[in-house]
Amino acid sequence: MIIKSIALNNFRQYKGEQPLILFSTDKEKNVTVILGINTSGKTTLIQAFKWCLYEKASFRTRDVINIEVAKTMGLYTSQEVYVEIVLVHEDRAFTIRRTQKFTKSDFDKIRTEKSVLKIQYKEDNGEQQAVPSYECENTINKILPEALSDYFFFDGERIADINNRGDVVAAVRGLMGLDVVGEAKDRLDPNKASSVTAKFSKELDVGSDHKNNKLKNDLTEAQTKLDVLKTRRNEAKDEIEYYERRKEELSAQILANKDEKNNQDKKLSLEKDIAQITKNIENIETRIVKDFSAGGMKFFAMPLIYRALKVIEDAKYEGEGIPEMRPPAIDFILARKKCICGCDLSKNEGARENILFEQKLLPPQHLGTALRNTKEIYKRYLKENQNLFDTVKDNHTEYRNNRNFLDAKTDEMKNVSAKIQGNIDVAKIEQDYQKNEKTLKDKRDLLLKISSDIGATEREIAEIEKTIERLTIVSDKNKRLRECIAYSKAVYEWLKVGYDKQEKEVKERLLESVNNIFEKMYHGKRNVTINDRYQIVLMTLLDNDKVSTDESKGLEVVKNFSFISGLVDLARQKAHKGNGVTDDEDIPVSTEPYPLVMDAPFSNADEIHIKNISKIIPEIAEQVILMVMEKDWRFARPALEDKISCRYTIEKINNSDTNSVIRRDL
Amino acid sequence: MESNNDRKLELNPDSLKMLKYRIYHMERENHKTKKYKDNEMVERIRKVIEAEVDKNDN
Repeated sequence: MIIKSIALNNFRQYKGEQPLILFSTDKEKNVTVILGINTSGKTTLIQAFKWCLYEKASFRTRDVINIEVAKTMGLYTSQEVYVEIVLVHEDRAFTIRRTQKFTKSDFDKIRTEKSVLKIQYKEDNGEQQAVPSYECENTINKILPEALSDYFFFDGERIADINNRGDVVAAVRGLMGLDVVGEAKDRLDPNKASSVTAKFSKELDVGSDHKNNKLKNDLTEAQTKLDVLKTRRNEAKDEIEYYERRKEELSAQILANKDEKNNQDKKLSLEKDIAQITKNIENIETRIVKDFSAGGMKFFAMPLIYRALKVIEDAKYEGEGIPEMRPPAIDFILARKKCICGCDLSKNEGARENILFEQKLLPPQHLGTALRNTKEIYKRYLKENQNLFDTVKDNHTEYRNNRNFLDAKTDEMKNVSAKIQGNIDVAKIEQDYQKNEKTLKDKRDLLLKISSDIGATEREIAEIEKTIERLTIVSDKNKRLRECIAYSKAVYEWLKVGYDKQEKEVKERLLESVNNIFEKMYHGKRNVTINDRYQIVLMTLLDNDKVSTDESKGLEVVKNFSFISGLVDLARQKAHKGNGVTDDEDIPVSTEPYPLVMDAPFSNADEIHIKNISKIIPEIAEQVILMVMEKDWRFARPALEDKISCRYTIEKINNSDTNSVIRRDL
Repeated sequence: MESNNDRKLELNPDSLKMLKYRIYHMERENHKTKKYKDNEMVERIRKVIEAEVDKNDN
């Protein structure tokens, strides 16, 4: 399918009949570029294709009629909206026109009629033929099935979304013509109860009615069971696919919120620390209160005693009397005139004077002895209570330290809390991840079990078939049926072998093609791989190991672009290889060349990637139609210029969002 | 009862080739047009095979 032109009338921004837009059909200069600023009508143009072919358009407002035209319509007057596409498919030119009529039936009401699709084609002799109205949709489906159209009419958003689409497998098989082979194969599958082969088998006459019926019932039961198991296997595969995707999503979320997770962990740890420190402080406070209850007076007396001791120690006084000596003792010795050493004091004047001197050193005549006694008492007191003082001092130090810790941790907590985004609960995501892992494992186990049951059921069917074969009586009816079964099985085998071969080849070639394109667009130590679900995964070479890696938005565009381009390239290669039955052993899979129509393909791509993508596109698609933002055009232009044969610019009339016109520049 | 288990059927290569071609093209056509439902396609294929077998027998 190659698009020759599109004509628009009153379609959305395009007020009135627009000049015909011709697209390049040149094999060398195969690119058509349509430039425009935001909201000028680039996306509308791509929607015009879809509306004309499939009556599908994703506008916020339902009606396709130009707003200005709708507003200026007189009462009971009508206006037509149409889009007409001229294209060539399988060497035949088709003119496809969808028209919708709008009538102003009231002052504020416009009646919309059902759209009408008309298709004409040119016969080989040049005559125009109209396709009957009831065949129009079928004809479009023959040209480009709607399900596949999304892969050729792209907007920027869809390019980014290509990997997340669930229908990629179906699309690739559809593009390569494998879905047709798959359907044919299923209809002949001898293991399917509703297949052609099974129906022939059921009619075989195996003799006695009872045995006959029993065997056939067993066969039908086993085939039905197999069908159910295969359906369950597909469901299990789908579920596994879902949980694998979910796993990737959750991993990405965990990775993306790594800092958040660290902060949340930090917060949890700080909460624990703060709780512990608070508890410590409470314990210390309890101890302090307890110690004070027991020895508070002593604690407060101690500094006073220290000071008093210091005063006593610093006091100047001469001589010191005999410790604990009291004046009555001296008086007694003097009165009896005999010293404690036995000396007679009445005869020894010197000894008597010494006694009198000692008397002078005692209070009240002298304080020295009293002070010395007091000093000793204070020292003893201080020594006895030093432990209490030390304990209170230690408790106080510990209390202060804990208070300081608490202040520091509280400040840290405030900072971490401020960094936490609020609603993202990474721990919950991790829980979901673990739960998902468990479910995934269960589903994989289930798949193994179902696969094993399928094997057993297939063996059971083979056994029953053998018995039927052995018991089958010779009759004309059975002979004919056996021949029919043999042909049916032979065609089935041919389709099965062909399908497997084609699918393997498609995967290999697609991977090769995608990687070739990726290498041309991206320079670095990465390449891509395609998994069983035809999803493209970016790989990085790390220490000789290929690992799946994260990607930037720009790199993602390049990756997805490579995949789309790879698909189109593969379809084109297939188409050039030729259609029809060329070899008895090869299934005649056929594909048509398709255009690549892209809206804002360079969104999110940087300057270098725009240049690289621009170089590749004309090489991989038969025809390229690009709606490009003017800001991206300056980077794309050098690479595309030699490939362009038509270039247009969309202009807003009087800067209006409801009136644009397309002007041809080249 | 006589068994024909030991007798291998010989298929006509031209008939097989023709059936492969016809069945594939019937499927391809219906894939585009969606004209026939699954059970209708099964019946159509069955008839094609039967017709080919009958043609050989005659």
